[in-house]
Amino acid sequence: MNPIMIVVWIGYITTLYFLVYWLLIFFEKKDIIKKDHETEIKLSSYPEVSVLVPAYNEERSIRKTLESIIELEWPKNRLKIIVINDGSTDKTKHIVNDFIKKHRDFDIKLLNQKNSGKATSLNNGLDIIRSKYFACLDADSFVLPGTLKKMIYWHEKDANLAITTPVMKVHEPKTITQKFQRLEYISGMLLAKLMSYIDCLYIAPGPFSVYKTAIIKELGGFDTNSMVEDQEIAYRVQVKHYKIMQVPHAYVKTIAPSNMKGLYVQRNRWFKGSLINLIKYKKLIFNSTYGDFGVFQLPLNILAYIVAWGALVTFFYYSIKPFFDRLYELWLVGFDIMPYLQNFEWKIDLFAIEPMSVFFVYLMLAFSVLFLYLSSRVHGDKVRKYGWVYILPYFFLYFIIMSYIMVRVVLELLIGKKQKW
Amino acid sequence: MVERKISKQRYIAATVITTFIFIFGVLLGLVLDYERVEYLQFEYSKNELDYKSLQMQFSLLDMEEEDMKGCAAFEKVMESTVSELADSLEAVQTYREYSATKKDQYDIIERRYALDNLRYWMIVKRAQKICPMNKLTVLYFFSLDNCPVCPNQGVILTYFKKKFDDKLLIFPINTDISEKEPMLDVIQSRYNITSYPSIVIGDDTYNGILDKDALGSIICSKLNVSEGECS
Repeated sequence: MNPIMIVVWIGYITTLYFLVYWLLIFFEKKDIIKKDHETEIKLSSYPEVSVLVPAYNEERSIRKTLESIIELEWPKNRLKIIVINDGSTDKTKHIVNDFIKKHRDFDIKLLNQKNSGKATSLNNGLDIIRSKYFACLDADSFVLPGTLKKMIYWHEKDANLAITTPVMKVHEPKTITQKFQRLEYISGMLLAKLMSYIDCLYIAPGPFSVYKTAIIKELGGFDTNSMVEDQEIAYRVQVKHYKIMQVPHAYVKTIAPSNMKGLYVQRNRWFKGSLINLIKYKKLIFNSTYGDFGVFQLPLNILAYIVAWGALVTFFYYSIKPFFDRLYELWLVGFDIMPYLQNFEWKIDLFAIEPMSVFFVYLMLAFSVLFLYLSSRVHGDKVRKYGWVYILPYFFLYFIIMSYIMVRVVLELLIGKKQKW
Repeated sequence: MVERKISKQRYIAATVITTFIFIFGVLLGLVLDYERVEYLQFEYSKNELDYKSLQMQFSLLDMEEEDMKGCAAFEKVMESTVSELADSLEAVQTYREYSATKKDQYDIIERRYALDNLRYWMIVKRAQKICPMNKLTVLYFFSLDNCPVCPNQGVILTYFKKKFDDKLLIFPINTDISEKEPMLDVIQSRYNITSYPSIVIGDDTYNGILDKDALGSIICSKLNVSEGECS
C-alpha cells in the first residue's frame, strides 16, 4: 500500500470512529435532549439585557435585524440596543438613525467608529454596558421572538454558564449554495447540541450568542487580533472552565453567502482563524485537565484538517484522475471516438470494485445521512423543504469544496499569505 | 466551574464498534477476494473446455481439405473464445490489483492465461494455413511492473481492436511472470523480443511503442481492408 493510501485509510478509520462517537452521544443523551426541548420556559424576573449589533455596510439587512430585536418577547425597559457602526461607507448609519427616530420607545444607541473590525466594535459596546447579560447580533441575522427568553432562562439556572448559543438556521435559502449551507447548518444544530452536552462547544456564533457580562469583562473582552473573535472568546471561556451551552429551540436566522465566491471568502476566514486558535491554544490539546474538550474535541478539530487532505486525495484519485486518464487515452488515438461508439459494450463487473474503500465511503455517507436525518427530526426542520435535487451533490460535492478550502488554508498559512477580508 | 470529565466508557464503546465495523469490512474484502478467485477458476475451466472444442474442430478441419462450411464455423467459435479470453485476462489483472491476500494464486492464474493466449495464437496461425481467413494476429508483450508506456500501447491496440473488430486478434502476454513461466522465455527469444512493449504482427516483431499512425499503417498493410477503413 502506498503512503497516500495509508493516509487515506487512517482518515477513513478515524472519521468513522468520530462519527460512531457522536452517534453514541446522541443515543446516550436522547432522553435528556427530549426533556430539555420540552422544558417550560418561565422567568421569575427579567434582567437587563444589552444587544450589541456591530455593522459594516449592512444597509440591506440592518433594518430587519433591528426589527427582529424589538420584536423579542422581552420588556422594552429591560432591553438596550447598541448599534456599532464600524465606519460603514453605505447607508447603514442613515438607516439606523431613521430606525431610532421611529422607535423612540426603545433604548437604542448608535456608536460610530472608524473601521476597525468586529472585535473592536464589540469591545467598544462592552465598555458602555452595565447589564448582567449582553447579546451580540450580526447585522445580517435575525433573532426569533422567543429566543432571548429561552437563553436567559438557562443562564439564570447556572452561574457558571458564561455563554449561551442559539440554534442557527439559514434565512430563506434561494441559491444552490445557500441550500447546501442549509443542510450543513441542520447537521450543525445537532452537532453543537451534542458538543454542548459534553462541554465541548468552542464557538459562540455571531448571530445572537448571549454572554454573562461580568465573565467576559473578567476575561478582557474580545480579541482584536483574532479573525474569528467569536471562537477565540469561546476558547478562553473553556480555558477558565466556564460553561457554554446551546439552548434548545433558541432559533436565529442568518443570511448565508449566496454564491461560491462569498462562501469561499467566509470559510477561508473561519478555517484560517480556527487553525490559528488551535495553534494558540495547543497546550489544551490532549490535556486531560480539560476533559473531553482536551482529549476529544481539540484532536478532532486538528483531524478535520488531515481528513480534508484525505478527502481531496480520494476525490482526485477516484474522480478527477480517471477523467484526465480517459482524456489522455483519447489524445493517444487522435480523439477518434467512432470505433468506441460503434463497438460500445456496457459491462458491469461487480467484482471489479475496490470493496474496502467503497464500503467505508458508503458507510460514512450513511452515517452522515443518518446524522442529518436525526437533526432534522430533533429540530422539526424537514430536509426536503427546499427540494431534494441538491441533497446528493451536498454529500459529495460540498464536502469536497470544504476540504479544498481547508487544504488551501493550511497551504496559505504555511507560505505566510496575509488574510484579506 | 465546569466539572470536566473524560468519558472513558464512551471512548471504549466507540473503539469496539469501529473495530467491529473495520473487521466486518476486512472480512467482506476477504470473502470478495475468495469469490473472485473462484469466479476466475470457473472462467478458466470454461476456457479450457472451449479450447478443447476448438482443437477438435481444428483436427477435423485438418482431416478434410477445402471444408468451407467447417472453416466458417471454426472462425466464429474462435472469434468468441479469443474475445472471452481477452476479457478474462483483463479481469484477472484488475482483480489482482485489489487482492490483498491471494497474490500466489493470481500468479498461477496469470501463468495459465499466458499459456492459453499462446496456444490460441498458435492454433489460429495453424488454422490460417487451412482456412482462408482475413485475420491478423497480434502477440502483444507487455509488463505492468517495468514498463510505464505499456498502458499507452494497450490503449492504441484496444482502439484498433474496436476499429477492426474480429479481423484483429490480439493476444496479450504479461511478461511479469516470465521467471515463473519458462515458455515465455522461449517465445520471446524466438521472436527476438528485447524490450517492452513489443508486438509480433503476423510474423514480424516490432520492439518499442508504436503510435497510432505507425501501428495503423502496419495493420492496414497486412490486413485486407478497404481504404476507408484505414483512413
